Amino acid sequence: MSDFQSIKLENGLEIIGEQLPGVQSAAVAFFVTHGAVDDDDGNAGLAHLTESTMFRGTARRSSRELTEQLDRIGARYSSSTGLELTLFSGIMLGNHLPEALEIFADVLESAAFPAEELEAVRALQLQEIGQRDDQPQQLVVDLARRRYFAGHPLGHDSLGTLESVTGVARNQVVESWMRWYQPGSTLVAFAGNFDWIAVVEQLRALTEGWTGAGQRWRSSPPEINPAFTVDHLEGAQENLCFSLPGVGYGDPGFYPLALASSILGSGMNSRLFMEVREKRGLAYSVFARFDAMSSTGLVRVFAGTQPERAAESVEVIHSQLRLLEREGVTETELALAKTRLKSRVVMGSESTGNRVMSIGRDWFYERRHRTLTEIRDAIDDVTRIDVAECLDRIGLMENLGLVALGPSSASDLGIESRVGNLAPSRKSGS
Amino acid sequence: MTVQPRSETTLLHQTLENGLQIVGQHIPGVESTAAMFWVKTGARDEGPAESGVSHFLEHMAFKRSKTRTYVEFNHEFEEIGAENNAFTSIEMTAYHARVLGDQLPKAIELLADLTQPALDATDFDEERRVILEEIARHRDQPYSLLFDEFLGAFYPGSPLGQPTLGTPETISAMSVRDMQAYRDRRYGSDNMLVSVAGNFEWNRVLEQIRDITRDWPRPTVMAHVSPRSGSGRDRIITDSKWNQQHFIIGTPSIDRSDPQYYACAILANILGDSSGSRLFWALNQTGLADQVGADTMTFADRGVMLAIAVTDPDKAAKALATLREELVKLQTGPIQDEELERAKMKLLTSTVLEGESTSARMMGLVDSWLAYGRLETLEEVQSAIEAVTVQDVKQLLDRFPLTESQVLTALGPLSADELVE
Repeated sequence: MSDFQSIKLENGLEIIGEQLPGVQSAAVAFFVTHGAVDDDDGNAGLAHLTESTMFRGTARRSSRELTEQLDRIGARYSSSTGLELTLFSGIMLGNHLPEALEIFADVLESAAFPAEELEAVRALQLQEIGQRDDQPQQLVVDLARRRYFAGHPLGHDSLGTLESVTGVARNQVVESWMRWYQPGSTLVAFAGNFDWIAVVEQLRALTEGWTGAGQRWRSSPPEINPAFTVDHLEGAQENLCFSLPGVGYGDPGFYPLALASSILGSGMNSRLFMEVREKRGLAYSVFARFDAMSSTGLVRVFAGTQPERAAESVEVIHSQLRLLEREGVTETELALAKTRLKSRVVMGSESTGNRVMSIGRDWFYERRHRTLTEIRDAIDDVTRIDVAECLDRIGLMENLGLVALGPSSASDLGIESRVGNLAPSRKSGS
Repeated sequence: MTVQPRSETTLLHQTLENGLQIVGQHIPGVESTAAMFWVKTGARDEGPAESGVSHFLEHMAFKRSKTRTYVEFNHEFEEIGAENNAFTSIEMTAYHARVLGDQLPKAIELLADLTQPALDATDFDEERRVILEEIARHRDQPYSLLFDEFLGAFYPGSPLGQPTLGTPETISAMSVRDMQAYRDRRYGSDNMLVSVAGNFEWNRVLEQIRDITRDWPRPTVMAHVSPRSGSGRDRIITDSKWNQQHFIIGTPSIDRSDPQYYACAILANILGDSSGSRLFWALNQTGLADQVGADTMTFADRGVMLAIAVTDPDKAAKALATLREELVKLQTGPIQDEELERAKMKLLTSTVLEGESTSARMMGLVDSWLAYGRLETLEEVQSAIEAVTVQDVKQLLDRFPLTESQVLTALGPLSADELVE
């Protein structure tokens, strides 16, 4: 069913693509092996600053020319910096891919980093920090990761701090670009309506003068910090985010953990939705999410609740986590979670923008392509034993972290706040 | 223009004997279908003491029907792998699900059942707590709060300016009887619309819905209440807890059925699209404001054009002055042909993506049905976009000047005085 192809050009640039029948749109994404993990201690936010300045002009084109060429073909495009990868992507009508590739290749190979543009981008990044910090739910979920992986590159703040972003010099940005943006560590993925031979030939010609093997960030999995911390923030709700250990892409525990996380906290049939919201009305927003990285992963559980009921929320979530660790999941739950996940995979693949991300991630992290059938089979193969083994391996309760952000104090919440491996001080009854 | 028209499938519509309307379109090559039950009721149809009842009722729908409790609803939606949810807006309450094709009948059965809640008093008291949590969460998010405050400032004294979630006071005072009375008034079969898009059998859908809804009550059609509103007034909310300064400037604009709908979409794109728009160059690219945008909100009988910016407090006065200046320039200065063409191309891409997404198409069908009482093919939409001229946009600006009747809403650490350069 899959029209998948891949090639590696002479300069090391990898290209993959999957045709999707019946669509007019094409999605393209450049996966650059670079991210916030590469930021040094003193330059937190450098990777993001570099990425967002790249569209501000190249050796041949001004910022206005770059933007207008993409706008003329009606492309929807964006760039973003993650922990381990930086993305440049666009969706457009398939017949306009050539104009878009010209721009993306120019930006990656020949970004010029004009000084005045860099200052404008720096000002915007400082604002981004302020905006993120104005949104408690977003902030606490990010803070949970940063604290859980503190002291390790996976705990970096990709936006940086006011001080670090202000302190970055232009030559650091240029050096960072020269060091990390190389064809040997870049992957280009296509999905939808495109001509494979044509895009490969065009990219070959466009990147002829682009060289460099690049490098890939490698690290042992982080030491985790399963601490409970409480931060004061004025607001109507207490924002609670628990952190649990996860597994990385390609780990045999990947689907078992994805399913366990889904049973715990994805959607209205999940345990947390039932126990925290439906039965007790403690929160409007409550969920679990699992994020995988190359060497490890992370499960986070969020709930937003008014201060007078925050202690009860902590207690209920805590007892649900303990229950999951002790008793695992039931056959019925597992079957439903599989249906949910498979359905999401199939429905998600109908959009070229989603599909390009999914084939790109598979190739980037695991160097393989999976058809929808292969993914469905892998999900179907998971047993209760697999889930139990995975939960056992990650040591859920002994590695539990919590960040509470809001008006409550540690004693309001019924927890002790200090670094270390602590359970809530109040015993919870489930 | 370079969009190749693609042969489209037939637009489908049917009005049942009980007044319920069904619209649909097949999308070739997809496995999924998106379906939605729409009730033409929302915050604008609430009296002041009822504020928030439409949204609260939408929550109650998931708690209990005659045959199901939340346990069954949640379980059964999960069994069919549905991506399902509901939302309430100023004029609409909608229950929707996206499923793989063979699960559609079950999805329709569940969605229909959601619109017939049992409204149990104990559930009501329990769910009230969730609503109060939702309001609390809303107040901790500057965008949500800003938006509510803006509508309140733009439509003072009108239900259009009431927050969709209601207030802690109205929600705390509300009784299940009030909700029942509202529901009886608004949830008649002839005030509902069902839309489906994707992979489905039309006749089977019609038959099933006809069967399910046969005995549904059909009260007299209730048009939206069309309230007067006073003139808008600026609203500056100063609170030092926010890091960033947020603005919306609103001006009156077209209603949903206006023939200049596409000219207006192009105008909003020229003004505030996230790439290459006037505000993008003036505010974002200069480092003044990280977030900028413009959009039109259209209602049955009126509308508003919004220009939005989020900025650092120390750049706020400059950003606000620049924003106002850009509105003047667009109102009085030239619009370049190239600028118009770029905006058109971006909108055309959106229509193509709509045609490839079952959920976007399901929404799109309803938009045109509500606006014009008929369905538009995407080809018609594309032709309408291509036909817009600079002259059309100018004419629209004459009808709804961006420089008159402006209402400013600001949320952030700065006072009114500090917002002036």
